[in-house]
Order: sequence, then C-alpha cells, then structure tokens
Amino acid sequence: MRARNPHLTDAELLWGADGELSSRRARKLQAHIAECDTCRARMKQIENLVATAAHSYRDTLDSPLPPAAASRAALQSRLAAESEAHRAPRIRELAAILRAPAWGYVAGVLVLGAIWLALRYQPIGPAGRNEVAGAYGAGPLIPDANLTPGAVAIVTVNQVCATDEPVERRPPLSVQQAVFHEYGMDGAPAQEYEVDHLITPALGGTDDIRNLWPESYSSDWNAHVKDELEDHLHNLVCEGKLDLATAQRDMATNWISAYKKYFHTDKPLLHNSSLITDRKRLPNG
Amino acid sequence: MSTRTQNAAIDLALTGPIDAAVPHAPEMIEREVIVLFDEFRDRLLRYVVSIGLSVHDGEDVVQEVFLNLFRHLKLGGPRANLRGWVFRVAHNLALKQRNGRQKQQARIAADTGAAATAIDPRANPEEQLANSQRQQRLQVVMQALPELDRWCLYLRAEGLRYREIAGVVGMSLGAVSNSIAKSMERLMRADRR
Repeated sequence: MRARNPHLTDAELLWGADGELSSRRARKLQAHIAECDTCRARMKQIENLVATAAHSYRDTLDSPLPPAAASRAALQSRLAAESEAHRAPRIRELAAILRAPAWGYVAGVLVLGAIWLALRYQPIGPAGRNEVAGAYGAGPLIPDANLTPGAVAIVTVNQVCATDEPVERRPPLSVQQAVFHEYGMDGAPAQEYEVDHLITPALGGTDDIRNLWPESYSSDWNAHVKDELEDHLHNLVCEGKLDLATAQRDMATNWISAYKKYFHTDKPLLHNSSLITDRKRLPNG
Repeated sequence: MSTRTQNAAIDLALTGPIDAAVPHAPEMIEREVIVLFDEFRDRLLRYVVSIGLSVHDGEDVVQEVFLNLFRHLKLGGPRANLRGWVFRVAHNLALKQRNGRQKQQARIAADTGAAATAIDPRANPEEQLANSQRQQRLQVVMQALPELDRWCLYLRAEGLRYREIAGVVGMSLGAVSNSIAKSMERLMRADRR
C-alpha cells in the first residue's frame, strides 16, 4: 500500500500547515501523516522553517518601529477634525438661513420667547435635577461615545482567563457621582442604575471614567442583560473561540449589537426575569 | 426622549445583519477605527517598511489607511474582512508613495538598507550567535526573491490567509499558493546548507 501511497509534496505539507487545504484534502493529509513517519517529520521541519522565517522578518523590522502613542493621538485628532468638518456644513446652512432678514426676525422672536419660558419655568433644586435625569428615560441604552469611548489595560488572554471568578468591581462613590454628573443625571435614583464598565474588567476594561457609564437596571436592554454578554464573551475568549481584541472592540462599539450577534437573537434572553433583577440589584457603592 | 422612542430608534438601527453596511454615528466609527488602529498599526507599518518605505513615510501611509477606513465605514462600506481591506489599502498607498519617491532613489536605498540590516539590538550576543546565522541566511534568500513573491511571504508572516493576500497584491489564489510554496522551497534549500 505504501508504494501506491507516495509521500506528500512539500507544497501540500506547507498548505496543510497553513490551513489552506479544503477540509477533504486536510483530512487526507492528516490521515497520511498519521501513518507516514517521513512526512510527519517533514511537516515538523516545514512548520519550524515557516515560524523561523516569519520570526526573522518581524525581528528585523520591529526594532526601527517607533511606539504607537504619538501616531495614535495624531489619528484621533484627525478623525475628530474629519467628523467636525462633516458637521460644519449643517451649521453653515443654519447660519445662512438666520442671516436672511425675515428669518432673522422670526428666529429672534423665537429665541427671546425661549429665554422667557426658560426663566419663567426654570426648575430649582432636586425636582429640577430629577427632570434632567428624566430626560434620559431609563438612562442611555448605549453610552455616549464622547464620554465613554471605553478604556482597556494591556492584558493577555492568559491574564484575563487566569480566574473564572467574576470580576466584580464597583468604582468608588466619588467616581460614580462624577459619571452621573457628566451624563447630566445628578440626582437620578442611584439604585436604579449600575455605574458599569463599558468593557468589562473580565476582558481587560479599566476603572477609567472613560470606561464607565450609568446603565439602567429597568430598561429592556439593561445591566443584567449586559452581564450575560460579558460572561459569554469571557468564555468565548478563554475557550480560544474569540480574539480578545475583537471582544473588546465589539463590546465598546455597541454592546447591544454584540449581544444580538453573539447570542443570535434580537431580544434579550433573560428579559423580564424578575428573579434575576431582584437578585442582582445590589446596593450602589 | 422617552425610553420607548429610544428603543425604537436603536431597534431600527440594528435590524440589518451585523456585518452588513449598518449606519453608525461618526463617534462610534471613530472609536472602532481607533480600536482597529491599535490592532493593526504595528503590522501595517512593518509591512509597508518591508516593501521599501522609510519609517516616517510608513507612518504617514498608516495614518491615511485609517482615515480612509473611517470614510469607508462612514459611507456604510462593507465590513467583511477589514483585515484584508486595511492591508490592501496600505499596500496600494505604499506603492504609490514609493513610486513618488523614485526621484529620491539614493535616499530610498539608504532607508531600506537601514531597515534590512537592522538586526535586533535587544538580543544578547549568545542569542545572536545561536540565531543570527540561520536567520541571516533566510533573510538573504527572502531579500533575493522577486518582489511579488516577497510581498506574499511577508503578508503570510503577518498572518493573512492566502485569499486575503491574493486580494492585497492582485493575484489569483492559485498564484499566491504557488508563490509561497516556491519561496518556501528556496528557503528550505538555503536552510539545508
């Protein structure tokens, strides 16, 4: 049989090592090298050479590379300018409308009327603050990208997977208050919100205020629903089924989209589970 | 805005498939682009330097890649295989930049020479003794490969699949497979010596 089963070519072994064969051919290759000592040894040599060549390429070029921080900051600033330039025409259009004499008169009357109304009915004290919180309804479902872009520490998969214990980290009260304040929700009932990490510490998220936002316990897409996603993504990362950076990015970009994507559902799976809501409604702090 | 209105708005925005062209707020796309920058910056910079740009020009190219990515995503461009997308744009911009520098040939030669001979200063002498002969031998072979073959090999070293490499360098999948196999054959021969 062996005589009719010649050794595999180096190209076939290389494509197999690179995972580029069709599943049928990959199975045949695996079956062959399981039986053939020569091809198995050759496969190891090829894998070693591939790794050394890649290493050599990276090592040679890594040393002249400057750190990314300055370049990253420059990109952030250029992206912000680009977004601003996108918004600017609308402002110019509005200014042009307001420059027209008749519209200018109408706008002036409206502005004065608005100021009068604001002075006449200006809310004072706690009632006013609650009204501000009320403007959010049950709070923002996804955080404000400017206030909470997400922040992560430099961690490896091994570090985030070192323990299966949930990383339950409550930010200090002063930080929680600062978060409510920046969201214009001073005086909102704190027990109805979790000052939550956008990127969970279980996936490398930090306590930086840019990673914190007031998340409602009572809306459909609430803090408990997000906890499910956090656990699920943590498991996928630790099982090697999901890249850590992808998990962080999906969580930071839009956690509701991520939930729908990873649970293959359009609705929260544990929505309306009062047991869970009651169990997890912890005292704030 | 009431909660109900917010829910309706978000449900409306998320009805399409996740990887399809979903409109996003510019702020969200900004964040997404920065996350992708963090993931790919070093790999893209290394690659564009490897194909002949100075580090300084390479940084400019990488910035342009991510500005282009921002515009692409803002216009609702496809999100499937963004890794292949950023490498393809980086490759094209790098070649354009390099061709624009043809008149400054002497400077290019100096820059690429510096990159090619920059052996890692972090390795201690013993490690260098153990590794450098083999690595330098492989480096010499890689440098001597035809440019297209070298690109394929470098992109492979950056973790791209053959199909992605084909998209970046504008070759067929079969041609990429053969190119990499041929280059590895040459590396093997050099390694045996």
